[in-house]
Amino acid sequence: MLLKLGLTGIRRRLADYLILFSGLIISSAIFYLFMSIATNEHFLKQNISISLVTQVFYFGIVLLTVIAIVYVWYAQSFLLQMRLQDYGMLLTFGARRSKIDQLIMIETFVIQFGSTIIGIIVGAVLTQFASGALAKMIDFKLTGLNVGSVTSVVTTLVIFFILALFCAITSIISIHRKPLTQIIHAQQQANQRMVTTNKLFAGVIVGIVLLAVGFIAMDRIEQLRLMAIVIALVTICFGSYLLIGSLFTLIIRLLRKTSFSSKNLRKFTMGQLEFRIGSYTRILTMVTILFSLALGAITVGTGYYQQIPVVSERASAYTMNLTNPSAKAQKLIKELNVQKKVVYHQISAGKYVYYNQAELKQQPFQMVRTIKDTTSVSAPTYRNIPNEKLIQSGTEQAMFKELQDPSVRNKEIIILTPAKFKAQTGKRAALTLIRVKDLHASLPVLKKLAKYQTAAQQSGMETSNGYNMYLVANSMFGGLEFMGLFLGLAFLTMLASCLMFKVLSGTRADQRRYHVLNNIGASQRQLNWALVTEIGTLFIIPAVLGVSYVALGLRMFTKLMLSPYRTFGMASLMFVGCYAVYYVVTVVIYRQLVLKDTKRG
Amino acid sequence: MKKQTASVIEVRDVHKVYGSQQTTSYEALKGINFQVMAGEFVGVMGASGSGKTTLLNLLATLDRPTSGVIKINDQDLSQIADRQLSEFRGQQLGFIFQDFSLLENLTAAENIALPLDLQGVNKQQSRAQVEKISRRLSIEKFIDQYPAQLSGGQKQRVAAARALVNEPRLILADEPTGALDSDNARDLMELLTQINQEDHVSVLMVTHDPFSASYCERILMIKDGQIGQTIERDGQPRHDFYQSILSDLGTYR
Repeated sequence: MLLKLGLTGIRRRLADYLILFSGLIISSAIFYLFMSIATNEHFLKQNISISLVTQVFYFGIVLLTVIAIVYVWYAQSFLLQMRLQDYGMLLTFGARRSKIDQLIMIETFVIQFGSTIIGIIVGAVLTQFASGALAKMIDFKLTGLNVGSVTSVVTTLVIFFILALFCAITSIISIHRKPLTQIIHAQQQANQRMVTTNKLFAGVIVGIVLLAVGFIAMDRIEQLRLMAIVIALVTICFGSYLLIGSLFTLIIRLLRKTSFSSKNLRKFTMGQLEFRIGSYTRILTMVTILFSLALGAITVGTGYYQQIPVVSERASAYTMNLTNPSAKAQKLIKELNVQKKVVYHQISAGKYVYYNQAELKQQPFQMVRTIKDTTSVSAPTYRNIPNEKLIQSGTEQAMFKELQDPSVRNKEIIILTPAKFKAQTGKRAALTLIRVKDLHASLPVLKKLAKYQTAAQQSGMETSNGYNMYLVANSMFGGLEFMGLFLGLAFLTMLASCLMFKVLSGTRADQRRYHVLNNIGASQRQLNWALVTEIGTLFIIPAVLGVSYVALGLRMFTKLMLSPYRTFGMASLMFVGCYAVYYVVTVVIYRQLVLKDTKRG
Repeated sequence: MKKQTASVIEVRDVHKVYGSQQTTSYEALKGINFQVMAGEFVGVMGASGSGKTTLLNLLATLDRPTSGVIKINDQDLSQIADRQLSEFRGQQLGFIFQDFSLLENLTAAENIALPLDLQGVNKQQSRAQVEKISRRLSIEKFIDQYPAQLSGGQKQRVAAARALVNEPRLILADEPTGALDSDNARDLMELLTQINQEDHVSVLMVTHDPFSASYCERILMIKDGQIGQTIERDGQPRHDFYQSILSDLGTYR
């Protein structure tokens, strides 16, 4: 009987439950995805070449667990607000409280545990495909990925089991505390929390000071070391909390007094926001912090991505060097978008290797011009090397020799006039040097062409050309990049779903409000607009703060990588784009739930 | 000022059927006919399920009849497009609900100003109108408070002020005294009578409380989706009218 009651509850409000269910599936899937990578030490050590990597991922797990708790908590309150009236009705009919407790237990476990199990399956599929796709996107070879790891399945199950239990118990307690009348007329009372304007000002000032301390600490990372991160996390968390809580209320309070507010439903929207902000401050703070962490991770990740070709292009003036390329290799070279291609004919005899003076004069050998500004990521410029330098020992000669076939490298270079060169006897060969315009775009062809390189080059023993440097840089930075993108996307998905649920858990109270507004003559357009701006504001606050935090926090990375700001704009745009999708989805669902009985006019 | 003879509400042969052919349909209103003249105070009484709420929803333009004609201020509601209905509601009608329907995150003044904001009335004019109606209903003292800080009677006065602020010709009241104690109920009914008489605002009130109904000039008794009987006050003192409503209710049931 109880099971039937619980299940009919689910069937009756299928749409609402689907939202709940899919949300919980997302959270457990992401959690599993993260776990399966974080607990795979072998995988991490093999793919990511920094020693701190496991610690970084453990830190990530802690954060993700915190988010999961908050997330499940909001999901549960969403469930409870749907069911509260039904429970009240059952109680009125004489159901014992213990029966209701059982009902809550059953429902919570069916929903949360069911979605966790599906989530793990989804997570396993995601691990396989998402990490594969991500790795492919950044041209990084993952080794040792383990999709169905027992540890992560068990950990995910245990954590979500504890969460479900915790949710069910707190729900039961909260229902036991409420008098029956309040359960039946389950209507959210707007909490009358009036803080004086002076206190708000004080909050803003303390908040800004705390934030300043945090960012200064991050800027001094060289002196403060790990303490910088600890200080920054604490002060920025509290600072954001104060700033969001007070500055926002203050702005709304001032706006409400101006004539700006007395149009359409603006006053209503501001009233909603002012009353809501109290219960939203915590989640908005959390979302802000996570938003900046995620965006930061992505920015740094893509930063490394951009850095790889820069490092490679700077390493050598030529992307690839081939001696006597075969017809097949020649064909491949034709496919490349070549910026420069030179062919130097050579004759090797005895201790010497001869070059044609005319050829070297016509197409001088080039080297990358060294630049003073180490943070610049501009395309490299090249300088011509005069022939004299090639016959003297020095960097220029060493550079040139490196590009030759190993069989002639130890021979002394001699440059002959065209007539003498023609007359010279010995083993003739042609050294072909290529420079491509866009290393990233040329990769597929370069990979095929690499087979025609010398054995030493193919085994990665030599990094004389740009392509080989690329391979080295990619294995160095690729892991970091993968981690950045991975962490960033995982956090984004979780935090945006979190905010979505928090917003959705307020639908019940709003249903009535929007109904009243509709009655007294608000048009659908006005209602829609009110809803769009209200939810929009709640989404925009963390986004604006998050982006500015990253803008400030990236200063820290100027010491660790080439101009981290270069990819900031792009990454922010991408990130905000994904985030906006969540916003739109939230609005659509919210509108469905809130405006469903305000169809007229 | 309108001529006393003009009708504010005209309802002709209105039917309302819920459900479709496939499912079992239910006819909530089975051919309703009546008129409310300008300046009249009309009550609608009836048992639960008699069709009172359906009728009120139709008059409030929240729903459309299956057949028949409803005119408010000589405008045929069926001729108004869905998109214009909200504007129509905002301009021509004032609503008072049993649960007050105040928005708890707005102050009393902001609640009252809401219909004006919705129509884009500018701030000065809106403030003047709010002040005027607040004085009229003696609620100036608590106008800057939030609904949660007000008593039931005060809340209903604020709700009445919101209904009147845009000077509608017709007030639709749905069990306005339903959530009030008897003193506050008396206050509110006297207020509605006063507005009705002094400002010539027509009032259509749905109630099943005979006491509140005794303030009306005419009472339409609805039973099973039809108007079964009309009780006229005909200048009787309120107390006598109350007695006759009680006795009529007895026989009518």
